[in-house]
Amino acid sequence: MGVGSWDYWAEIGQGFIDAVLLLVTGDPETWGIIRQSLYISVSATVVSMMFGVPAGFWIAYSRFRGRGLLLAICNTGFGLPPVVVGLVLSILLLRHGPLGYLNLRFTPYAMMVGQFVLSLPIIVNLTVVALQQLDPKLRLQIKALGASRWQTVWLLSREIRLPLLVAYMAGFGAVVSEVGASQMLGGNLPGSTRVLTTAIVMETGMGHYDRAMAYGIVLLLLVALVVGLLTWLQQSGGHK
Amino acid sequence: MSNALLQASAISVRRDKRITLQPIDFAARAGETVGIYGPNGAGKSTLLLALAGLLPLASGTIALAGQVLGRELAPLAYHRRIAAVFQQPLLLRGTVAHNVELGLTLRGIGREERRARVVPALQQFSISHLADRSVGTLSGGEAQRTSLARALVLNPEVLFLDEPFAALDQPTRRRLVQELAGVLRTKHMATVVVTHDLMEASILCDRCLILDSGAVLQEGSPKEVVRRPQTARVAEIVGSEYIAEAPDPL
Repeated sequence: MGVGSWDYWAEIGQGFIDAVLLLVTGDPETWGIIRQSLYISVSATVVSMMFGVPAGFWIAYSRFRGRGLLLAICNTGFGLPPVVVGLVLSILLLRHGPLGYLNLRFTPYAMMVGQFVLSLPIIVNLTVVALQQLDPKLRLQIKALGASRWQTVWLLSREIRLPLLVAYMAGFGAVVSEVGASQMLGGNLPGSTRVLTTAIVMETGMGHYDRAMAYGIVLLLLVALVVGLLTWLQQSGGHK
Repeated sequence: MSNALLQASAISVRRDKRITLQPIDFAARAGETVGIYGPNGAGKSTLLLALAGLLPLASGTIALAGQVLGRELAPLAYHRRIAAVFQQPLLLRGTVAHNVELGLTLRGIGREERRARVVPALQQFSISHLADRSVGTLSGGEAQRTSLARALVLNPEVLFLDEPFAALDQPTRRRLVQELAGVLRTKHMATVVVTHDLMEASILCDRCLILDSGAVLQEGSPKEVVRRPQTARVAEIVGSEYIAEAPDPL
């Protein structure tokens, strides 16, 4: 079958139709994988926000030795290869490894840890950048209004809520579409650690293009949703 | 000054391992407005921020009504007894009313009392009609009026103003200075104003400090520092005609 042959395109077209059918008919396996993907990636990025935003405040407003190095590490984190994160965490989580006692390997939690490590530097960095773009006197003004430490953090977070949302989306976008760490830490076990990306790799390998395309469509829709939401937020941002 | 409301003793500030404010004594009584005047880089804003407890001190103490900041008076308690307005209005997202009531909200004051205090504050600065407007749509003058209302609604014991009119056009600036002078006369608080404008200082201030290179060169009424500069440098700073003259014996 040649590249440009009718059969080839007909097969691809049929695969696409089957993919749409799998989605619209609510195929349990397909939707199970979508749910698991969202569960793992949303959880990982929520935890990353819980740690990353306070860490961003600390780095932005503290002066300490090694601050520049810490920022450089966070910058490096933007390009952190997922397979390397997967490899390092796999070694740490080995039965006899330092974190082996947690018994996390090949569980969704191991994947969450991997995705947490991948999204954390992105969120820290974008928080620091957002805070640095505020007028430096704004923090003093809030303090002079009588705000406690937590009230200050809350008010500044409100001021950078759009960049914080962008940070969350960027973190989520990065981890939901990565495959290396998820494959190594989760093992692609059906009903447990099989997510969209690992399923696409597997189904493509097995020649099940319809399923692979169904998962691909969902991934693309998720990315489109994230980008669309970001664009809408940027357009409607302003001083509201 | 024994009856001072705000008293700073030998305060100095170090930034990047460099002394930017030499040990300075400062005092302001309730009802008094003290100006800080000097050239760019003199340390005026640094002194104001230090007095407002917004910069760490390298040495010295600040006391409000006899209570020493950091000893008898916690920083948060101090900040809840003062208010500050900066050159930029530094408003937060939301409406004008939201910004004006913000300090009261942070103090845990209930909605009814907040409303009872915010309405006259908005009226005082002629911004009642803007109460529900988003701050992003305000002009420079309106934004600075909002910032002033936000500070004065708190009934602070000490008000710090860091060149609050510097970013405004001349007509707006002149109008706001006059309005503020009227408001300050009705309040029994100490006010510290950093200014670049001697005319503004003469309208607002009872007393003026001439600052240069982080040190106080002279202190007196605005008229006095212009008419009788004690050194050539002070004369140069205030643009006095009496540069070469000896201090007035009177």
